[in-house]
Amino acid sequence: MTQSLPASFRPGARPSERPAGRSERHSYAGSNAVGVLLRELEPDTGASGVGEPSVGRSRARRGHRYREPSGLDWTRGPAKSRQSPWSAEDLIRWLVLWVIGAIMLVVGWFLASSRATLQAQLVPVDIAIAGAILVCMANVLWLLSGRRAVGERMRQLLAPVGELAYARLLLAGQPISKAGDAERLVAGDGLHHFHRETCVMASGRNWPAFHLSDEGAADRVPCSVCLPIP
Amino acid sequence: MDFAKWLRLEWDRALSWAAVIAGAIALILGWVGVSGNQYTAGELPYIISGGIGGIFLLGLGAMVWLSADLRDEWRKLDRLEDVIMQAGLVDGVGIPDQGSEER
Repeated sequence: MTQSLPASFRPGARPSERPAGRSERHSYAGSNAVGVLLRELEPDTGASGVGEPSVGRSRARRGHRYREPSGLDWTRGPAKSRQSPWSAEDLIRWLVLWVIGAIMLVVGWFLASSRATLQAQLVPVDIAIAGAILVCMANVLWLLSGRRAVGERMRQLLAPVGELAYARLLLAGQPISKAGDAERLVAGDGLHHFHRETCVMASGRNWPAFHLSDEGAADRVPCSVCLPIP
Repeated sequence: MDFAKWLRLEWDRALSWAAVIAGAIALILGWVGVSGNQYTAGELPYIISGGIGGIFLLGLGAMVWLSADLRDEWRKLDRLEDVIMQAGLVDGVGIPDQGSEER
């Protein structure tokens, strides 16, 4: 099955044919994945022909950062250049809270052990408990900031993939092979998409396999990368 | 895989286990100290050092373990990004290098 390029995504499409809700500056070729692919696959098309502001490409050539307003900016946010999900700010915050909490715990213990009456020990105990709470807070904030960074990067990384892969198939005019009943598909428990067994998104996951006619595919949607379209 | 290599590769999980074991030992020692003492004033230091200190170490172990999981996930995203780039879904044109920003 070969699908043709939608009119709004064809080179030279008039502004009226472009997807609604996008401004002229954020027109498809300059701002979304299809535009990126159009520029790549049709290098002879002039900038004005695909609706791309010519300044955008020249800036890209000069090494300027190219903004993708539709959330497809691969250069923004948590980037690969970062070795871990945490920034230096996260580390400093964690260290400060953790060290203060640990010191309070030790001081509380030291004062409590050096006092003979229960009444005199109450304040040191409070100090120790406050220290423990501070340390817990530091740990929770640390984990939350890491979780947030991973989630944000995952969204940035995976959201455009479906659109890009589909656009590539459309632009290249390649047939999209249907998933036959005999083909093994996989999906994770509780996940929304099902994939071909060979899909990169399912690689190394050890998800249970099923066929298109099974229940596993019934309440899920096809993956946008491997397109196991019935 | 020998232990030294595992320790080098999985230092965070090793640290996590060490903290959890230390926390468990602290809790047990705290309990021993409290149970052998007749006076509340004498028990409180054990509660702080063994009880709260033990929970502190257990929390640290859990935090380090979950951090290791997040770091693994981050590395997996690195690999996924490489695959996506190599597959040619996103490359060259329109994806300029990092560093400078259009103003």
